[in-house]
Amino acid sequence: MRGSRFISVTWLIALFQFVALSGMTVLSQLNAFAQPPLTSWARTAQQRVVKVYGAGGLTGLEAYQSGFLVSPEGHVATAWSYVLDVEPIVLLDDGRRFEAKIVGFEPALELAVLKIEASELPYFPIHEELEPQWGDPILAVSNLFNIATGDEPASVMQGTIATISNLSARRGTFKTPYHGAVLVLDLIANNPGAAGGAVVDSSGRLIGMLGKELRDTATGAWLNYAIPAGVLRKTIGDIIAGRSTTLIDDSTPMLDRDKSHNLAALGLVLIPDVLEITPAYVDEVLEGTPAARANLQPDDLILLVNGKRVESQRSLRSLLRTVDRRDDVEFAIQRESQILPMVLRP
Amino acid sequence: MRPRSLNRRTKTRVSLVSRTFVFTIALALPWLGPACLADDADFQRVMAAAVRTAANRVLPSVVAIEIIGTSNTAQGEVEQDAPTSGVIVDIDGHVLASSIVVSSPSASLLVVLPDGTRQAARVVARDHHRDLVLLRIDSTKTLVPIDFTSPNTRAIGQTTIAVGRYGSEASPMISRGVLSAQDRLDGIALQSDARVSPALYGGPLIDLYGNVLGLLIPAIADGGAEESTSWYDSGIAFAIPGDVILRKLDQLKSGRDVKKGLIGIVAKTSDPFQDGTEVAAVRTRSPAESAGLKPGDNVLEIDGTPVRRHQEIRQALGRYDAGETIAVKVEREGNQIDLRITLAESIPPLQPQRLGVITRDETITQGEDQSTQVVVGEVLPGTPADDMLRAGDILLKVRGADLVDSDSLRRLLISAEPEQPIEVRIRRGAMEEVLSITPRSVAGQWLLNFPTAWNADAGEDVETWEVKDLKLPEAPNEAAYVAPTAESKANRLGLLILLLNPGQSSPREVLASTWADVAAKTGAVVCAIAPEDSRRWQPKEIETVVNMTAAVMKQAAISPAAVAVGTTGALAGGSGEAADTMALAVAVSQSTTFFGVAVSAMTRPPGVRLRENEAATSLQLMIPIEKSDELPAWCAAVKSAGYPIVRGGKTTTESLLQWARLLQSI
Repeated sequence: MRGSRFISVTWLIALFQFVALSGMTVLSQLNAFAQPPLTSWARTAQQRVVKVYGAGGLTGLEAYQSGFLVSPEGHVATAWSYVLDVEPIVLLDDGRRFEAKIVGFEPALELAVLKIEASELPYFPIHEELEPQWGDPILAVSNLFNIATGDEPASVMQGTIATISNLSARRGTFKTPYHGAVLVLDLIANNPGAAGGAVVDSSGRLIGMLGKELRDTATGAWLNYAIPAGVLRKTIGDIIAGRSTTLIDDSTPMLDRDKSHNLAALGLVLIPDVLEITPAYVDEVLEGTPAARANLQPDDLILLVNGKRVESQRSLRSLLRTVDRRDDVEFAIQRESQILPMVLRP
Repeated sequence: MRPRSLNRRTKTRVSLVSRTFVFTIALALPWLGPACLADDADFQRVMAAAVRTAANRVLPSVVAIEIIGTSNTAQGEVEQDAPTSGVIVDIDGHVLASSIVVSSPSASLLVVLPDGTRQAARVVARDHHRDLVLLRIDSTKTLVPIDFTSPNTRAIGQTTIAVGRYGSEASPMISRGVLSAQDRLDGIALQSDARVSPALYGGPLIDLYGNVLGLLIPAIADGGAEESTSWYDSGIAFAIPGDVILRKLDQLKSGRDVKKGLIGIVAKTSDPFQDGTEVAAVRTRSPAESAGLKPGDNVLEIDGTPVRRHQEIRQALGRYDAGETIAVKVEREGNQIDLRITLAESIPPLQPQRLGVITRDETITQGEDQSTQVVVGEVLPGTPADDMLRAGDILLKVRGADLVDSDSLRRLLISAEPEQPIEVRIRRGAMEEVLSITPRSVAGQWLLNFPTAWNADAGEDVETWEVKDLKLPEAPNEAAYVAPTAESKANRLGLLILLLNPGQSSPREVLASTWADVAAKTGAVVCAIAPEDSRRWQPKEIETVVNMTAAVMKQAAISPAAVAVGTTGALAGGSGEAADTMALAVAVSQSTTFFGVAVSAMTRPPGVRLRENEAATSLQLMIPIEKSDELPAWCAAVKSAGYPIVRGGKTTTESLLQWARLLQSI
């Protein structure tokens, strides 16, 4: 091939490839469901996160938190908290200020839905089949420390999902009414004002709502967590549609004393409950009782009741109150160094 | 000359090569464009997959540890029975965990295996040096032991992943960070910035390939009474290196605890970071003494590792424990000597001695060189120095070691043997003399008196000292102090930090009513501090007390060696209350600031780790009792850690302040 023509052909091919590839990238950015670069999915998420201002609570706590848009007409999902004790003000990413009404809430999910009068707003659709895994990268977008005011966008933080687990209960006192699965985050997300913020996956899809400042009741340490979007999906949908929300209550309520199990009826006498936390050691087993039939013995330590940890005699009594008297009770006990499962049949 | 045809062929070949080259570049170049719009999201996803793969390599060996039935006092924020993690180390059922699981007695320790089943565990042995505990379970299931031997490089900045199990289902939990540093905490730990919350303690720290770097432990640096869990989720986490764990496993499996190994060297320099490894003194009946180490030796190498400062010696010893023998190379009078030293679990505690002098350091300039001389300022009456030394004497050498400053003299006396005469070389006028003085133990009955020069000062018009308020911007505590006015020429003053009991009257009132006059008479500044909360003192206030001490010291000519912390419980008839416990906590954790602590005999001792006195501190304890058989039980631990106990008898405010001011005596 002649020199000059060779050069021109080469450059044409190069130019063609450059145009083609650039075009593909531009097209992919326009396509909301393709996988855009980080800088763009962070900005997209920011546009859907709002700043919520309300009441400061009795002890002068922060009067602000975060929320995110879940419908184009201005439904805002946020955390159910003291901030909403007065009708809240919502500031959008572009600085527009709205007075909001609380149109629905579900304390068991720590969820509240606000409504502002607007339209054609960018919003997070809540997908059905998202199954986040531990290790997945996430972005948390919130107005932590109220650093963003007016038309400043909310702050973006990067982290990963540390683990997915149920919030553990302790001694029957739930610091939060929600005790389902949470996304524990490898990120210091637990900051004033962050509650209600959006947690999105690496494709920009909403996977959770940042939780409130809460201590992990098992360890006592501050917990960085988000409530999974899948858990909130149906309730948010019901509230938006104006339907009454029916939450399946899978908590275990205390039954009336004459309807639930108790130690005496099972035939168990424990060691004297004198300490603040007395371990549930069996002192005596009464003859002809479910405990005797299951072959429980003195000095056995009761560890689990129906799969739930027994931390003390007090918690054992509360746990038995949640089991119907007519049902079997599963125990796990420790005898010397062995762990044995037992079923007590009434 | 070449034929024309050949030229053309060569030219064609060259141009063909260059054209192909250009063509290839041209094809490749456009791809750089979109590639430069790098896809961060893709990177994150790939990293997430890599982290999961790495974690999954060790997760079969990672367990959760649950504690049942323990007392409910929390460890700071962290609950006493917080669930943590552990690792299976062999198929026989040995599980290694952080010693936080045995920090208080419990009814049961449960190991939750990866499949969710629970096994009861018993304690086999503890590594007290590294805060690890070895447990054992009896399991019929196949256990997957963790591999500590996997080879790995350790580069600062490399990716590290903390792995554990969390929750009642023992779900996998991770946190990603980088390797921040090595040989931390006196040579025992790796440092990472992964967010390690209590659930991850006892879990492995791995690299991106799944190789184990170490085991995570809760730890903080020295010098605080805070809990070891205080730094959770703070970007600073510690792990014991896997290769060190391997070396200790056999001993732990045999049921023998591992304890830190002591060597018995008294450093010449008070600052462990200063250059120089000279040995000022060797502790009696210590491994160093048995191996033949002598004062004046310079330590060159610890087990092959060259050392230049005393801190490096401590770091090098971090890998070794009591019972291990190490090779130490020293330099003595120009020769290199190799010694083998077997580290010991304990060394007979220090019994600090006193000559009875108050010294000052004077800088001498000889031509270009500057050196420090230790000059005797005052001699205390009724002490071993009384007949032997005079004011103005220059102390050159004590116990065979050259004195570089008053501090080095102090250390030599702290580490001296009781009732054994020591050699003191002095220069008096133009003459040098060698004296043999038998020091007296600091511990025992309080018998000292002021030097006559000080009494003379006090005899004249006792100047009025002022009571002033003291406020620090960061601390809400109320405080006041009584000190000489700015025009005063008083110097070498003492300082007593008086901690008030919660609910007691204001610091200003306490000082004005009881202490102001005595303070002026005895030449000791008194600073009274009240707790922030009217019901109790809190460990976090230790820092406040130290800051206030520093602030007061700027207000008058106080000798740094005459600083004491005490309470009204230290006076005859006082009782042991919250302030006494706090005073002990402050003194023990800040023993480089406080040279004395005075409390009631009925003090409830604080839950602070009492570190062995390594001749670095001069802390002494003063209790208002008369006879040694009145010593309370808790004093035994203080004594065996090497801190002398002084019996004040019927202590008055005057004798207490005298004691404080005389803390600067050696």
